[in-house]
Amino acid sequence: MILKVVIVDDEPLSRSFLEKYAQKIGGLEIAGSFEDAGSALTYLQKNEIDILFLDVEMPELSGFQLLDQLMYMPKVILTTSKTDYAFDAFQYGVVDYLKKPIPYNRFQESINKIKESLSKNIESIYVKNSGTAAEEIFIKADGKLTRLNFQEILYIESLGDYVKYFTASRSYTTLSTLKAVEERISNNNFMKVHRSFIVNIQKIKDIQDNTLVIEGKVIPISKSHKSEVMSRINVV
Amino acid sequence: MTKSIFIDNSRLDTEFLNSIYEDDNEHAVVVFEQFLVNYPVLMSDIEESFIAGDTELLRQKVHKLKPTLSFVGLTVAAGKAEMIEKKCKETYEVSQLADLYNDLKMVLKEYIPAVEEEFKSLQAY
Repeated sequence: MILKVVIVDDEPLSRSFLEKYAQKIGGLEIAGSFEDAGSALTYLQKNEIDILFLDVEMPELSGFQLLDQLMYMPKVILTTSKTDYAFDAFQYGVVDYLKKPIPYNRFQESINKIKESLSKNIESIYVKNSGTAAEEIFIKADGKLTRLNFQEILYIESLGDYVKYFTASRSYTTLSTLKAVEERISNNNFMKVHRSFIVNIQKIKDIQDNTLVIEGKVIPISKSHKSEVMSRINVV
Repeated sequence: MTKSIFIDNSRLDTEFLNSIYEDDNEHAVVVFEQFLVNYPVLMSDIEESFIAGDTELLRQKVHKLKPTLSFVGLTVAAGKAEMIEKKCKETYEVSQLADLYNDLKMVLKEYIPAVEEEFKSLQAY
């Protein structure tokens, strides 16, 4: 499996190291290497990739601002010379956080982690019901397969390499990505409202500004998804 | 263990250099060369922001310089740059950064000849 990689860093020497490492480790194809987040965003809006090496502090558009505008979430590895962004990194569900200058063994560790998680995903987290339009899924959590009817699901949250399904009574954490969930839940009631959330539209209680509420949980709506959310609900 | 491409230079962090380049002499030559070409420009930008008293711009410029120092084994200087970067977030008064900034300049003045020496050695390797 060849993974498509994009590198974004305004500092040329930092980019040169990541390019070298990516070539050395094998199994990676450098789809692009950009010195500014704006050019990278233009590319990423037209091309889907697997791994994004992303610097945080860049002029014009920061790494996090780029992520805010992405319509899908590749595996993101933050590359920064500061450790101040750890909390934001967690919020954005990044896979790893590499502090510059990056030694090769740390890079290798990070890529291996991604390869491992992707290979587990391929084992199939879900067992889709037979028949035409599936109304339920089995999710692999807590060492067993649990049947969930779509109507039970309130929302699904991305937690890096994991996703968490929330129902009214409990939540289930399973190894997967929000992108994989999106592809497998073919039900019109579900839509992505933020890079980290897919919601069951029928369960939305309130929408205010850039947030919505489901069972008391306030969920952010990203700018890029706002108009689609508004178009999917009946506003009187 | 493979033979190091770097000379035994006590002024540079050769242990770290070995960890990032391993035996890739070609890459090391490119990086050292780019550093020696770009470093005076970056330092001139830093000096300009310091004179202008713009601590945020100074922080941004130092932030950009910092990883490049590590790539040529100037770990000590990278540490000094990090201190300036942190201090820039605490103050708008450039005068409060003067000691740290002068310290960085002194360290670089002392250590840059070692980078040049290493570059020549890498070219000849």
